[in-house]
Amino acid sequence: MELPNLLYDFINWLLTFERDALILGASAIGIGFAMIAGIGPGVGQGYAAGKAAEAVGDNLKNSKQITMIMLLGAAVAETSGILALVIGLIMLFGNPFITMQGDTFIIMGSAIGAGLTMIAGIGPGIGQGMAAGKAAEAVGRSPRNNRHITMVMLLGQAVAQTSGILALVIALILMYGNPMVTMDGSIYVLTASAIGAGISMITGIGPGIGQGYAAGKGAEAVGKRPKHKALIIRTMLLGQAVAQTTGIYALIISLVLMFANPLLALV
Amino acid sequence: MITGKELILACSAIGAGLAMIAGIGPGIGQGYAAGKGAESVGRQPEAQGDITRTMLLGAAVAETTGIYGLIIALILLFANPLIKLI
Repeated sequence: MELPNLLYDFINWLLTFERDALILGASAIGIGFAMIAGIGPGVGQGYAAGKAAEAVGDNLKNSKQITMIMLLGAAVAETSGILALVIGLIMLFGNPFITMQGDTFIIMGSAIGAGLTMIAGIGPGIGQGMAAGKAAEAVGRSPRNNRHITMVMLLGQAVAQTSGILALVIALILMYGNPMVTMDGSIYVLTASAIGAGISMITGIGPGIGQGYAAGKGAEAVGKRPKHKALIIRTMLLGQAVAQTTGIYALIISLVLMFANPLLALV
Repeated sequence: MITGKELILACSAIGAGLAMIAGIGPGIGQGYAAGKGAESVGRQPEAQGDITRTMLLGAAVAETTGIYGLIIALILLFANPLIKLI
């Protein structure tokens, strides 16, 4: 049997199900994809815990402060996991796709795409965890600079969250302001574009990890030389801005696929 | 019900998304550079200009593969050569 026949068979097989079943099935797959984001906080917080344990071992008398900053940093690193969980729970208990007007296949693609975008959360999770670990180490070494270290850690972690927020925005657009479901054009191209828009956002893993690493090193440097805080922060933010670029490219490609898809004109 | 051209375009949309995943690399790498930059500015603040220049130069090289991914995605979207073959 030739490959195109398999595809016909697959689409025909899908069409034997009712609309609601197809959309709910695709939502279930999307929910699964979204939860993959949990890899990030898991790795990141584990790193933070390890670094903090090491720091406590080296500086027993500072164990309280080390634990405090580790928990603060690890709480921030949890963000992406929570965002993915929220998207998953919305799709489970308040599924917006089931009431959406438009073509079934495009809605299915959007449900899978919305889940795929949330995978970006791996990045901020790992990155913010690295920042928390490095900050805990720095506090262990120079507890009197605790305030400066905490401030730089939180600032850097906030920047590292950017890609996760961008992914969340794309997921919410797919869920509540989906421009594709009512668009004129090939439903197959539109369905695949919805999935592609989601896959594209996975890029956010990179900026998230990188910016988090920078945040950790920033916290470390401030712990050693707090009087150069301004210069350190400036360098950290400049580098983090450069690290964000590929995440922005991905956002642009996703937005093009959703709002100004050039492929539709070619059919 | 689905034409060959449609199939290629649909696959191109998924491919454009996949191509962008390349951006993970530059993101991690440039972030590492930013971190090391911040570290050395802390250690030798008087060398800030040189440190920043080196960091940005390295980050620019690290950006290349992200740009490659972007170019391929843009070609798939705006100047798709595949549909001319069918």
